[in-house]
Parts: sequence; C-alpha cells; structure tokens
Amino acid sequence: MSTLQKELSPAGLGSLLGRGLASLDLTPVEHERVVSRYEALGAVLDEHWTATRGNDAMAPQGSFLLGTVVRNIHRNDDVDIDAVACRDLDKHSTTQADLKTDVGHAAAKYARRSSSGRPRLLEWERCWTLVWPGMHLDVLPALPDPSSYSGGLLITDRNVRNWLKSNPSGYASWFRSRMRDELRAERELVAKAERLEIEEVPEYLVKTALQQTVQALKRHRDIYFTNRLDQRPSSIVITTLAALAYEGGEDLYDILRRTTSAMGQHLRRENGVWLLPNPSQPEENFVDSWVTQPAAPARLFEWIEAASRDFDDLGARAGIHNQLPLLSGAFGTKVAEHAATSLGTSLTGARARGDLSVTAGAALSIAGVRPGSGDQRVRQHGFAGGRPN
Amino acid sequence: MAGRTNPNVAVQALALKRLFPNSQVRISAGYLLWRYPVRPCQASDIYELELEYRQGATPKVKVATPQLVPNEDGLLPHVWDTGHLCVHQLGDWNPGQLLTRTFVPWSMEWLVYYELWRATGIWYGDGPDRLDSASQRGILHPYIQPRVN
Repeated sequence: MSTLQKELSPAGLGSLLGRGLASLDLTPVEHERVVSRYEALGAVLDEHWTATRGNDAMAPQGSFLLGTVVRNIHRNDDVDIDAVACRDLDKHSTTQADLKTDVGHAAAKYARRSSSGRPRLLEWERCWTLVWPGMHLDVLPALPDPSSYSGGLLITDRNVRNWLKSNPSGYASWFRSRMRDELRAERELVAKAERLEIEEVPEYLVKTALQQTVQALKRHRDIYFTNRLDQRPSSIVITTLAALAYEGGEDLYDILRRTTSAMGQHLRRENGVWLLPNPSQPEENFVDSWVTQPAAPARLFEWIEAASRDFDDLGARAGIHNQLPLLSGAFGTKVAEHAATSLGTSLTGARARGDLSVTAGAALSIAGVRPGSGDQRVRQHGFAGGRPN
Repeated sequence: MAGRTNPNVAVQALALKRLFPNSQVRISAGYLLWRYPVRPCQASDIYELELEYRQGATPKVKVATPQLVPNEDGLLPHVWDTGHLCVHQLGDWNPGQLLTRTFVPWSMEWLVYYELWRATGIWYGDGPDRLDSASQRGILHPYIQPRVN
C-alpha cells in the first residue's frame, strides 16, 4: 500500500500493520544506493570480461526484485540484496570454478575503487558477498541458459560442478502477475497525487498487500526461529506459498490471516516426495532439499500454525494499546514503534492540514481531499492540562 | 451587518443527533448532557464519552467507561485536575462553534493518542517537535477518576 493510501485509510489494524511493516522496507536512498552499487559493479564486470560474445549483465534477483526485502533482525537491521552476474558465454567455454574466480576478481577490482565505498569482499562456496555497513550484496555468477526463452540462467551449484537452472526474472514476472491489478492501482494512485504518468512511478515506490504479506511472514519466521536460524523455511518457499494463496482483498490484516491459513495447502506430496514447483520453471522443485531434511516439512507447518495463531491474537482485542505489544512480539519492537509513530504523526499532520473529519459512525478519519457528505471537518486545536481555565 | 448568533443548546443537540443518531442528548435551560460510546478509529477500543455543556461556558468532557488507566505514578497526559480531558488550548474554543466539530472529535483524538501513550509512553498529540522527554514529562498530571452523571 502506498504512503498516500495509508494516509487516507482509517486507522484499522490493517493500516497499523502496514505502517509498522514499512519499517522493514528499504528507504528510497537505500534503494538508489543498491542500484548504483550493482550497476557500478556491472560496469567493472563488463570491462573485465572483454572476451564475451554479447551483453554481460548484473541484475538484481530475489527479494529486491520482488519488492519484499526485510531488514535482518539478527544483524542490526542490515539489508541483504541478491544479484546475479551473468557472463554472456556458452557453458562449454568456461567452468564454474573459472567463472566464479573471474567474478571474484572483478568484485575485488570494484571494491578497491574509492567510489565503491570500499566494501569488504567475502567468498562463499558458490558466490561472493560485498559488505558495506548496513548492506550485504551477494553476487552469484551465472551464464545465460540457451534452452530458456524467458531469461533463464545457469548458476553455479554448491560443489561448483553442475550447472543449475534458475530464472529470477521469470519468477519475478510470475510474482508480479499475482498482484498485477493492485500494483497498477497503487501506481495510479501515486501518479494522480504527484501528477505523473503511471509509467513514471517506479514500482519500488508502491507496496501491494501481497508484498507486505510476504514481508510480514518472513519477519515473523525470522523471530520464530531466532534460536535455530538454520532451520528456517526458505524465503522462496514462503514467498511462493503466500503468492499462491493470495486472493487479494481490502484490508491488509484480513489478507495476512487468510493467506497464512491457506498457504500450506499449496504444498503437494507425491510418492513420499514433497513438491513445490517453481511456477516459472516447473521442473524445479523448491523443496527438493527436504528429501535429506525429513524434519523440514513439520517445521514449516508448525511455523504456519504459530503464525496463524499470532495473527488471530492480534485482532482478538480492541485497542491500539493491546495491539502494539502483540505487533512487537510478532514482528519486532521496531515494527511496533514505527506503527505508533506513523499513526501519531499522520494524525497530527492531518489535524494541522485541516484534513481530519469525524464520520457519522463516530470515528475519526483522515479525509484527504473530500470528506463524506455527513462528515464534519474537525477544527484545529491543541491539548493543554492542569487547572481549568 | 448583524453578527451571527451562537448556537444554543438545542442547535448543539440537533447537530449531535444528526452525526450520532443513537446517542443520548439531554437538554434543559441552557444545559446539555451528551453520552455516546465512540470508537475513535477502527483499531481503538470503545469509550463512552460524557460531554456537559452550559450555554456560553467551556464544555467539559470525560470518559465514563472504561476507567482510564494512568501510569504507575498515577499520572495521565493532558487531563484537568477534575479528571476531565483537556482537549483545547486558550483560544481554540468559542461558543459560536459546534461541539460536533470541536469537543467531540477533539476527545476522540485524545483517545487515540491515549492508547498510543499507553503502549509506548509517548504522547504524539502535541506534534513531532514535542516528543522529547522534557516535553513529555511536562504534560503529565495526577488523574482523578471523575464522577459520572
């Protein structure tokens, strides 16, 4: 939900939740910083890979591409960004080890430049990580997949031996298709308010209920598995299940509850094997690792049940003073604090602008442009106290 | 040009009934008593407000139920010594104004800020430049549960 729409919404639990979840997002400044960093790294890679047949590319993948980034509660609220460095070569002209080493050289060259902010470079089994204060950028080496017509990639596996098929842009297209109308409506709203064409409104400026639902679920998972982070269900599994279960709706809180309770139904079991096919590449099973982790399905279902319970509890008692501590327990103190500050300041802001109304249903509303016909605009005032004047 | 006359209690009562058709309004000579359970915003609890207005005087508003909960030192933000809510500053109110645009929504605003204050210890209602601890301490007053009519 965009900031503007939040401003216009009455302060229900869904609105309170949306206000809090906004604290998990990248700020526009952070977003621009991410883009400029991976673009600069892409330019270094392109320079480095002179003997390439076509266009090398550095592109975001994962939560940054989907608009579902969640700050890492276990690492000072840092943001983790995933990107692929794709060299336009045939897989027979290189090896995974060479490709990975090559990406590492280019990343090291980039990291030495003063304009990069001199991040630390860490090496992992199949990728590299550039570490700045507050931000980690994972760079996964890849080649184009010649058998794919929709931007498929071949990525390095853990043993740097077999090429694995991946299709981050295809997955992002599928994810976007699950919220297409809402995304358009949100962008239209911002375009109207800012007097822009809809195409001029960047997607990262708006947030749909599906994106917020995924953020809420990922954050809840991170807290639920605090003492056993290695046992967390993966983000791709949660994102896929949530997007499959998502049916839209008006109120973020209702959407979160409905989606959470329905997401488990989208896992299948055939011949004893759990299946969650990648919707953009059905031959890929997102839960194939469960074959060697027999406790993983039970852990996922246990967490879905706990999340459903926590979300039900949130709505069980009226009163912001009752809901904020529950928000804090489910999503962290910063989410609750942000929800409180956002509601408080938007209410004082609306009062100062003369945008506050009282509706015939005896509720306050932030009226925006036009109050309803029976509504009364609230006169401006301040609070005092002490002895009566 | 003749000045506009101030709305009398009957006009105030009519405006209250129009906005809150199910509310109780009692009027007698120059006196109005209004009671109504409000939910200031969708996430809020329900509070029964009681508003007393003597023609020309400053209205008084209190929360009849549930009992307001002060902090552990017995203090609440922005209340009068009488236990009434303090929802205006000098000059905000004059008898030419309707209660439906002033004391009623001002009290509802107070209640939203009260719930936020109960959860966070911060009173947001005085604006973003009054969130420092000195400002926050300065608005707390001993709270005495007022008598309900």
